[in-house]
Amino acid sequence: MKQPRRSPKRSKVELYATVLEVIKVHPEGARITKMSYGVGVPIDRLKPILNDLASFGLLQTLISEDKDEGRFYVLTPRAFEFLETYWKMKSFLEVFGGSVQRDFLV
Amino acid sequence: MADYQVPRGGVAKLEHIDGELKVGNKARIEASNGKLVIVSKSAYFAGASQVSCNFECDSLHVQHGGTLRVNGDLIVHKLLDVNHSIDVSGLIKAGEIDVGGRIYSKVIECDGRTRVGGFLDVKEKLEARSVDVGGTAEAGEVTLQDLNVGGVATVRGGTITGKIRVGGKFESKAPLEFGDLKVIGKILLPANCKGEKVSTFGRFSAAGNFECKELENKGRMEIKGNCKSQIIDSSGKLTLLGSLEVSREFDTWGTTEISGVLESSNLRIAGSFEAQRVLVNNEIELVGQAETREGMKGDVVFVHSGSKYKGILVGGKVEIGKSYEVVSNWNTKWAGQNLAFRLVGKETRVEDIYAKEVHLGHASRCRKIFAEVVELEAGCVAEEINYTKELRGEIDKSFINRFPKKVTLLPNPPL
Repeated sequence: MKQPRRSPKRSKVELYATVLEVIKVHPEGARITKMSYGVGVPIDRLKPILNDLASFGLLQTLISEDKDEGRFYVLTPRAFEFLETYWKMKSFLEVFGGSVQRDFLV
Repeated sequence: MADYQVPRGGVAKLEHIDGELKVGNKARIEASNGKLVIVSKSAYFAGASQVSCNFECDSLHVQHGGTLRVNGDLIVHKLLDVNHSIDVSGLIKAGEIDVGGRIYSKVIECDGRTRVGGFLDVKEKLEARSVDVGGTAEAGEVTLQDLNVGGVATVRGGTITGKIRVGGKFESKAPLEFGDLKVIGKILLPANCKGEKVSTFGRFSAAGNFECKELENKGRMEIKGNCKSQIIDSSGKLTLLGSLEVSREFDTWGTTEISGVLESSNLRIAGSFEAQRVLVNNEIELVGQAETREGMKGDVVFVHSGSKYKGILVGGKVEIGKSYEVVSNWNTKWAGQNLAFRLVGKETRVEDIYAKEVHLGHASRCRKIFAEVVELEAGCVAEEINYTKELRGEIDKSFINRFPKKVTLLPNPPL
């Protein structure tokens, strides 16, 4: 079984982008358990990240009336803007010979 | 056999279940006939379990953590819903696929959507209506309508008829036919790919000949072969190691280097441009710097104020040193505006001109002019003027090194 190549340590912003990309796959709302497997981060570490993203206005939390269904997370339009800008900035920096981590997230 | 339950850690030999199957964590399913287990309704797996045969069911749900491993083919008529990961050694055939973590398979045939949160790895063939992956997708030959990947997507050729949206990097290792390809990061394509539209903001590289109806380049584009297109809009750097054929518009706002011949219907250059030879059916507009080794030919050629062109210029009507007002009306693109204003008032410089009608504007300099009609503005400089019909304008306020000659026959233009 081939393992995906992953850089040794993801920066906070890279992690934010990954979380948002995983939620984007589920436009009707993503659940935290499934999300944690997609992002590759345990739920206890994912919760504060989701809180951060929600406080930045990138996420919206939907609470289902059915208790078994729990919470769902959906992206706000600002999150789509963030993702587009993040990937653009990353590609610009690649062309210019830099990196998001080195140049912006010291 | 009616509904059946396999306890946690248990091993069950099954053949046909006419109902639901519930399987505990770390259990193993085997086929009593050695080949196939069929479940008429849904199958529920608590987590990491193993199926040592082909498996067929109406819908399949894998809860909690761990990877469900299937040594054989997996056929799910409706939804394949996996919270964590699934690893199938053979084919996955499903109505719809929704995986939270990772999915590994040899072949996937999905009638509807395939959604994967983390990683998709299909060794041989991937067929689906749309594929959405949050992280990374690696697939063999693909037949898809749409592909959306957050991070990196690698495919081994095939067809993607609709939209391809990739955040980080998109790579095809074999010729690909595609619809609308938009990648914010990097695009790597082999030779002989064909598409409808490409939009790139980072790097684009095609390893050989490339054909696409519409190209939008806002980064660095490199094509190591010939290219055919209808519309090209490049505001970054475009490098082409072959020839370029554009049937409608070619606008370049950044840097363009073409090793071979450019054939286009219209050409607008704002920035820096280099080619072996340029053949344009209609209009050429130049604001900036251009150079050709064998010359540039167009029906109407405007070289705007402050621009420089090295090489032979051939045209029906050629205007050198045209004022910036026309340029500022081009459109609102940053590069065009910026260049237009920066170049105002500087000397316009070209080399030999072969045309029917030449207008040499103020502060414009050229070498030899061979034309039927030549019009000069005050302050222009020409080394030599040969004309057949008329020489007009402010001749006495112009600087002409040799006395203008009226000739009966002009030399044939080199293009």
